[in-house]
Amino acid sequence: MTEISKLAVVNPSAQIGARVRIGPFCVIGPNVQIDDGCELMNNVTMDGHTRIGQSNVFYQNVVVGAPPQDLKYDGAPTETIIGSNNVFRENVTVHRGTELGLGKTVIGDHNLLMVAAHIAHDCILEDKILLGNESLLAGHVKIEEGAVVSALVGIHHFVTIGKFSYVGGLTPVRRDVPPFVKFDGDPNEVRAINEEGLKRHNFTEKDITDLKQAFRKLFRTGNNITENLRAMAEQENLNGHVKYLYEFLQRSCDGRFGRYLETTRKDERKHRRFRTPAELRKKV
Amino acid sequence: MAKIAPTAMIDKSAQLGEAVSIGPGCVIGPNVTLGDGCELRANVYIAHDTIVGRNNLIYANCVLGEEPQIVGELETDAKLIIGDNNTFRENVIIHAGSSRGEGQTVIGNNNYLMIGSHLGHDCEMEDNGILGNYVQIAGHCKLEHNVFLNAFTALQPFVTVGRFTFTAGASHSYSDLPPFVRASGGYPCKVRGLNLIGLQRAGFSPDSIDQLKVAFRRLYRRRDGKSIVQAVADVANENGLDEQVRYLLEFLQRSHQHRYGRYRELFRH
Repeated sequence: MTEISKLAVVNPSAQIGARVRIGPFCVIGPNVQIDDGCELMNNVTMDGHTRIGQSNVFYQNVVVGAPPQDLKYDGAPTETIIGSNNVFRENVTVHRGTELGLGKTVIGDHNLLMVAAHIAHDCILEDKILLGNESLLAGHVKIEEGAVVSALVGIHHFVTIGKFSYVGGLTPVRRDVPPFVKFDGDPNEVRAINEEGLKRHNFTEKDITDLKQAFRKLFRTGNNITENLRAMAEQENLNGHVKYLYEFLQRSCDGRFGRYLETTRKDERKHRRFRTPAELRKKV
Repeated sequence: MAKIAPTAMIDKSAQLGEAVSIGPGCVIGPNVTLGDGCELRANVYIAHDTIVGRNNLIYANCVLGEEPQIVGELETDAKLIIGDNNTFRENVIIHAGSSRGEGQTVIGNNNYLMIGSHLGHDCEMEDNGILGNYVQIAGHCKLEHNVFLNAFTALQPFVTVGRFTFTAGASHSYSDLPPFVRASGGYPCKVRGLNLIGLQRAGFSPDSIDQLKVAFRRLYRRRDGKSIVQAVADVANENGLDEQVRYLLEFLQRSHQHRYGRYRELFRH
């Protein structure tokens, strides 16, 4: 049985599934699709072309699918796509994509986004991610599965956070975070293999030892990382996870400023013409 | 024609301009003036004694003009004044002024305040500024026009940020940031160079930028062991300085009057 509060404003053309609960003062726009079993507490706002999967929970003041904070955006009908079983705590904001990016912002399944986390335009979040309080993702960021991002972390645009990695609190992340590691501090540094996180995700002892050895070779030999990567390329029979780590680092080293996704950037310099906020307002 | 959602609550003493649009769940308190063409999305709360100019766009869950976060007694007649064409994204919180300062918080025109940014009591923000996500500006600060503060930038009370200045993400400054520069870093926040891209975008002439470059080098890349105070005095003694350079020097001279480089702190009462 779908329950919609009398004080909520739901556009008649919005598609609401079965067993959805919408609390008072929620505002749901016309092109929003909410699947079965979602729960919206009070004051949740959803806008734009937004698809929301099953059994998600949205706490107070969450805003989903608002236009991006991008001075190049001029009102294209881009999308926000959210999977199932996610929890969005109070004040979380998720923005829709932009035309020059992917055209959509995607969030997978089983993620927990804590109070006031922000997901900007064209971000991709895979599954089982934890985002701490007030963590900010700039545009075009990708977070792979099982990553833990602590509180007050700022992530630069086009950064990739590798799978099962851990980012410490208050860290300004300016370059790619490799998978399976702990990353922390300002200036930030890869600290160690995220052993606890890997154990929690049922990695075998063998995998963890292999990763630790690879980590020592890559980050603790005193040579620079490109030389260490070259040395590792000559090794055979690498563990699958080590191989993934190696390939990830290789990609990041190719990217500008250590950010692989920056190489996939579609906008050219002419697109980056700066519009004043007033000019921007006229278009949108 | 004003468009007001049925679930919005508007005080009788509030004055609404023409073509105002007020979304569902908004609460507008006493003595609030909304200029023509303002658009309030859902659940915006405007407390009291607030003047909002024309064509402002206010997104969901903003709180404007609420009493300041000050410990101690407060007078209640303080206000918030907002100019025209500003954009306030979700969860922006701006406090009214207090009797400890000017009694009013003032925001100019054409500013863009991104998600979760906060302006404390008695702040003054001029025109064309951009505040990134979660920028936290403490009380009594002044932001001159065309500033660009990136995400998580935090300022101590009484700090002034000069015009056309850019800060990197997660910069925390306890002293004034001079005009026309790039600054970054936590404690201490350091001046790294001239904000050349910002100046080019703003249409500064190449000659003017060159003059600023020369002055900047003499002020911040000193090799003669003199203090910056002395360097400012040396440059200021020269004739035929560009108008912008002169402004930079005046700004620095003002800041240097205070022990920790916060000019506005001299007027504390």
